[in-house]
Amino acid sequence: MEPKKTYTGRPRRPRKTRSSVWLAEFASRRLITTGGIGTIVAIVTVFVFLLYVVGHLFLSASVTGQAHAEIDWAQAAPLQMGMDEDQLMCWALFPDGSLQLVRLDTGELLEKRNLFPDQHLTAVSFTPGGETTALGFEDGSVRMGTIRFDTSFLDPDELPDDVRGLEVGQAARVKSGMVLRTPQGQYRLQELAVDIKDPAKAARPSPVLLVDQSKTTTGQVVTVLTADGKLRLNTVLEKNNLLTGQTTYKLSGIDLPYAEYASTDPPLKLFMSALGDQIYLFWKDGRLVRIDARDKAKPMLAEVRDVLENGSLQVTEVRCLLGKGTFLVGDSSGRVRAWFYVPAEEAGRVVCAHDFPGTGAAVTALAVSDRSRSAAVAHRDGKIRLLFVTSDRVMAELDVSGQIPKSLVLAPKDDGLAAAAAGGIWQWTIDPLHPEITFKSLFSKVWYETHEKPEFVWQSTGGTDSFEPKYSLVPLIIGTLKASFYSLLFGVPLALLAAIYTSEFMHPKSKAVVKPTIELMASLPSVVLGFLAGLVFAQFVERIVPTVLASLFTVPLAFLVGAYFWQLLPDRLAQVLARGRFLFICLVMPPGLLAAIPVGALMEQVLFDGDLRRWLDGGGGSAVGGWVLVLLPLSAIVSVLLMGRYVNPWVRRQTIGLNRLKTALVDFGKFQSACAGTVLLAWVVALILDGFGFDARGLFLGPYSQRNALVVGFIMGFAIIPIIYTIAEDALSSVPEHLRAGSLATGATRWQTAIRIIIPTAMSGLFSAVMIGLGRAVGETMIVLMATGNTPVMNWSIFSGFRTLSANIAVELPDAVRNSTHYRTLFLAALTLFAITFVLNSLAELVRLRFRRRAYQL
Amino acid sequence: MTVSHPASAALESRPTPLLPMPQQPANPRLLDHPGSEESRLEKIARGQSAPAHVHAEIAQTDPVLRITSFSLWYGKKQALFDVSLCIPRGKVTALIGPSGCGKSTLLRSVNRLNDLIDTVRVRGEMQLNDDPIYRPSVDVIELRKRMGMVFQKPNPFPMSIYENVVYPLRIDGERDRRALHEVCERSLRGAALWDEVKDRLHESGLALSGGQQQRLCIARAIAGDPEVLLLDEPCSALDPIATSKIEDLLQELKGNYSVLIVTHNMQQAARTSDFTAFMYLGHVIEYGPTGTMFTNPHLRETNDYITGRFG
Repeated sequence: MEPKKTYTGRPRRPRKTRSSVWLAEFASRRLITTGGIGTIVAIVTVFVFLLYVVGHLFLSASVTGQAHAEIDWAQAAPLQMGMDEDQLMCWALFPDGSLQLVRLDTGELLEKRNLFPDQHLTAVSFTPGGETTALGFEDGSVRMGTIRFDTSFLDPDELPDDVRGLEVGQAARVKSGMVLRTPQGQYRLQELAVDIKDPAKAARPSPVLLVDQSKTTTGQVVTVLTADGKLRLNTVLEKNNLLTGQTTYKLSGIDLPYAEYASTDPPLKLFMSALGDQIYLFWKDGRLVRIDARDKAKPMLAEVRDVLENGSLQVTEVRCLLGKGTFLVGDSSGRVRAWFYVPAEEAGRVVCAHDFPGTGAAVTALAVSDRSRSAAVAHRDGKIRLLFVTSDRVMAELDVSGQIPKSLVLAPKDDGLAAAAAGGIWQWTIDPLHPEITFKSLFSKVWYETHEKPEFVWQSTGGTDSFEPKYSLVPLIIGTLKASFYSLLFGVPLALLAAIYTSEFMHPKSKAVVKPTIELMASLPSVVLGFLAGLVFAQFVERIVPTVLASLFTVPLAFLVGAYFWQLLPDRLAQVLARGRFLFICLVMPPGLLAAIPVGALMEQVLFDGDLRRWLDGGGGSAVGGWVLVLLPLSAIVSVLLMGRYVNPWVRRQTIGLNRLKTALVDFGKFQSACAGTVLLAWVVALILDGFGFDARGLFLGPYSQRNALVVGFIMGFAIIPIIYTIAEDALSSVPEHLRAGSLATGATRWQTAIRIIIPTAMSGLFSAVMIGLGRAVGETMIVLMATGNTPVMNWSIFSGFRTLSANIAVELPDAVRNSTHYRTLFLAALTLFAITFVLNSLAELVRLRFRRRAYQL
Repeated sequence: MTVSHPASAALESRPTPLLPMPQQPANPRLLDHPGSEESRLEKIARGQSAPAHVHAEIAQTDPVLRITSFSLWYGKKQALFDVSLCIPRGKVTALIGPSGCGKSTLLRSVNRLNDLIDTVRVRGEMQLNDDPIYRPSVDVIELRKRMGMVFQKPNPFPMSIYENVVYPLRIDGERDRRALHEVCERSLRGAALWDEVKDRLHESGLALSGGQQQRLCIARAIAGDPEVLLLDEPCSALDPIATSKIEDLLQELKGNYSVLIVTHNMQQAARTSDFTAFMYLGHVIEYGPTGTMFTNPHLRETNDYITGRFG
């Protein structure tokens, strides 16, 4: 029997779903689920990885090993000790001039020499960083030298069997040094290398009490305090005898003003700065005398101050940190305070920048690091603290079980510490991690050496070994916000007004051209924009700064003037021309730009004393001009509001019954007086602000640098306009047509409709548009990298450059050593950027949801 | 035969008497010449013109709005053909006709909302109280302020009830709080909404029910103190109870306002209006007092439509 035909003539529709449809259903569902979860997992993984890398920064240092060896150092405490980088051996220089080298694990004496058999050592100074040592003698002579470890690799064939059989990481004595089997399987020998130069004779032989030296660009300088009460700043003269090949040394120098202190107790310590131009003397009673020897012809006693600020205490030990800028003063209460010299125009001063409170037990020894601003301090009660001075951090606390530590030494890589006491020598291996990083050093002000006050500084690399990296993220965060602020300031009004114009006023045919064109702007790669900004636009703007500033006012003004002229047109003509209104609007632009040239020149003449650049640099002219410039937009807003509130209703009442032309003329007059009022208001407020002594220079204005926030504002504004415009325009266009019709039907104009109905309704979309623009600006890298100059300065001046988090990561990550503090801090910068965008987007979403609840009901 | 009406159940207890639905053609003239001449509707459908039949009573009224030979094109397509209507002052005039006959287009032409559509061209003239509507010199904004319009779908603005009502005053720049409040109360009372919303004037207008929203829109239209109220199928999106409230409202507004209402619902036209115009494919077929139009139409085409034979 034939199957029954259906109404449509087809055989009966199969009711069973085909298996391929089910399969596609199943597969697509799984695929979408996997994709969605995968995305979340990927983002979380990135976040977790960033956290993992960054987390190390905030871990505390840990003590990984401890050893104690009995050594009979019954004699006086070592003047100075030194450790090799494998922490196998330690040398010690004693007051009698003998030098001993011992094994740290067993206490075995490897070598002992008497360095100065003919001379009596009276003074010694060691400079952190393994530089030259100065030694002073009873006969008044001074010798320079170095005591350090020499490293060489041995040929396995020449080694005795027991040494050749060493496991990796094990060490054995060879000759007077130690051989370590390195992880690469090599045999590394470390030996003591002592190189002491011949004595440099002083003019007058009087025993040396204190000595310090610095290696300056002009040669080695030595400051010597002798028993006869003379403090002399000497240059070491080197003379080569061509016949014998011998080098002889001579001191030649000037007397420093010391007469006043010659008869008192001699100071405890003497230091000179790395440049040799400041001499510091520390007394037991806390007195610090600074002698300024910048002018060699006329050295002067510059400063006397009390570094204890407590009469009952005594200074027990003073050491200078790497770079010879900061002095650690340990006292009898166990306090350690860091002092450094802050240079200034008039008179510099020594300030106490860091203070580690005492425990009550006096400081017995200090040791400073050769590579960082860390130090170890020993107390009378046997406690040893490991400090990181700049970040005010106590990294570790150790103990030598009741003994009194007499001398301390830090391992060359800061990863170990040894302390000598009567009972022998104690040794710890330490993992210092990243002691310079604390929340405080990242996000609040830190007082760095030679800085006048605590500051936010980002400076990750420097030219010298004694350079201290400064990792404050605040200048970078400010830079990021500044870039976003100025680009939004420029881009948002333009993009939103353009969106309002295209969606509410423009003829659909023009809109069909304009919208894709603006969207096409987004396809310009940001590297091209950055390149144009940095190399072309910045230089162009630099030549015509006053004109650019003036154009910010003349172009909008030209549009307004154009609008008022339009009102003056006869009724019929206006009706006819209305179709080509967009063309006329475009025609207003060139006159506006051209007007900026004379207006800019006038502005420079009147406001900025004839030279804007000089005015910005702080020279000439009062602060009024800058304030007028800054206040003009605000004053314009105020006068628009005042006009709308008070003047317009009044004018409207007065013009009832006048014809169109007269009304338009009255309107134009009103506009002109409003302009005058705006300028007047700005001027008056500027005069008042100037009268109170406020100056916009330093707040919003400042010295002009070629690559600055103005340029970035323009170009990055240009980059974010398309995205803001597109989203905003879509939001405005999607406001239901019946609202528009409803408003127009009540007699509202298009502008009133746009302002009162369309924009409030589309607010959630407009808000997301701005937020997405902000997100783009915050994360934008190439433009700011190429157009800002990347100087991590911290101000809001529109004429200065800045460095953003993103540009900073791009610039520095290639140079950062993997897993170093710098590397991890850059990851922290990335995390911070992530956090900023996350917080911004979350806030934006919250606000948007609030707005959208309203829009959904339509 | 019956014309089904969604509101009929709810309307049974209403005091307004239902007009008797003509079961048989009542006008003897129509019966006299069945099929004697070609139907006007067929002529119109073929593209020929047919003159409107306007009852004599119309000429005796005082028109508030005069439409003279008004034609309108959407691009190439003509939507209104030589429409001439006089809308009497203080009365309710209903426009009826099948979908697509140009009722709404005509209504939107009155306050020139069709200007928003780019392709619209018009010919002919309209006059509001003897002032021309379609002249280049006419200020459209001013013109629209003289009319209030209520749309098919309630369109309260996303703002408070109070702000919705006083919107026409706000755009005029009125700032006097007392005046605003007074207008708000009067308009809401006029729209029979005051008692329902007086305690929540500052809540969103969108929180109201559909019927309340539509009355809010009427209140907004009244607040502008218009010379003519234009209602474009104001009840089509509403349930029967809301519809009946709005119809009651129209009865109350009558006299104070001249109302032009477009409706699909012939019973509504019969109940609420004083005059009715029947339109078909852009032409006015017949225009006369509502009573005559529904009980004794002069044209068979009108009779066919109101009895539900077509449309």
